[in-house]
Amino acid sequence: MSEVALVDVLDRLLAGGVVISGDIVIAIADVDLVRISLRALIASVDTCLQQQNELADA
Amino acid sequence: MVVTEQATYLYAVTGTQEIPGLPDVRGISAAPLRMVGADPYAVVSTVSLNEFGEDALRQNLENRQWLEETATAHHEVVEAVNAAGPTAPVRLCTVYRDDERGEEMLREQKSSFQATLARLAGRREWGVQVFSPARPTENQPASASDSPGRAYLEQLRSQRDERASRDHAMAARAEDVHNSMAEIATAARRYPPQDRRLTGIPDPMILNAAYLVDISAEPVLSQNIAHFQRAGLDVRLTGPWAPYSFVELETS
Repeated sequence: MSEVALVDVLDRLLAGGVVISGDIVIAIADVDLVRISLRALIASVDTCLQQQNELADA
Repeated sequence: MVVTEQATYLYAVTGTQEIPGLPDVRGISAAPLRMVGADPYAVVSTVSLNEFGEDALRQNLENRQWLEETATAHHEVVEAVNAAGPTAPVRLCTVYRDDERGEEMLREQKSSFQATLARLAGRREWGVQVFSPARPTENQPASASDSPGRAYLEQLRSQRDERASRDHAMAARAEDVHNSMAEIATAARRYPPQDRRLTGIPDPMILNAAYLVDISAEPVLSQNIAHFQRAGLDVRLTGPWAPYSFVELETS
């Protein structure tokens, strides 16, 4: 997935795709799926930036 | 002895059993792929409930590395299947207790899948994003007002008005892009603009949309994008994608 941005893939994988009720994930609503995982992404980007800033300051 | 419970993970549904690229691709956790069902078929692999059980999944979705690896594996399988013929990608993390439960679902949804796959034939998905240049507002010359306080407030107000009118104009141009694309496409779908922290682009995204386009209309699509780019708009095209954004099944 070299030239494809993860965030573009996640738009589609989390909000697109056929929605069929599986056996496992019934309790995780669609909205939760998007919210939880985007929170993870943003948190990790923030951590990255913070580390870069710390490196730059050092 | 602890027995790891296993489950069946679904990647995509397709009408063909012949997928030349499939042996070269691995699923999540490098698991081998297999096909279940009979027209439509689903491409699946075995996953562990330690990873995909409900509680585990909730935690894993919060883990950037897990999310990236899972999404990448899922996407690569979908790409391989889509290369062989019309394909309905399945939402991330669709898991069944076993193959039989997956096959049961395929039988129940057979006609919906077949209608969806027929609609996708000869069409591809393209992504279009528009970014608004975040030009810094130039300092206004000091107003003729005699009060420095008032001059300052007027300057703030005029900067704010200018920004608002520029945002308004950019939003209108993004709508032009969307409307012209929707005319070329057989279907259109908008996503929320992506967060700047995720795009890595300082300019805010003001349009994030997907279009299902007849392959025969792709030259028109390219010309349309080029037209807006020549006019100075920051329009970016991604794809072709498997038709992730256009596979809503009719509820049966």
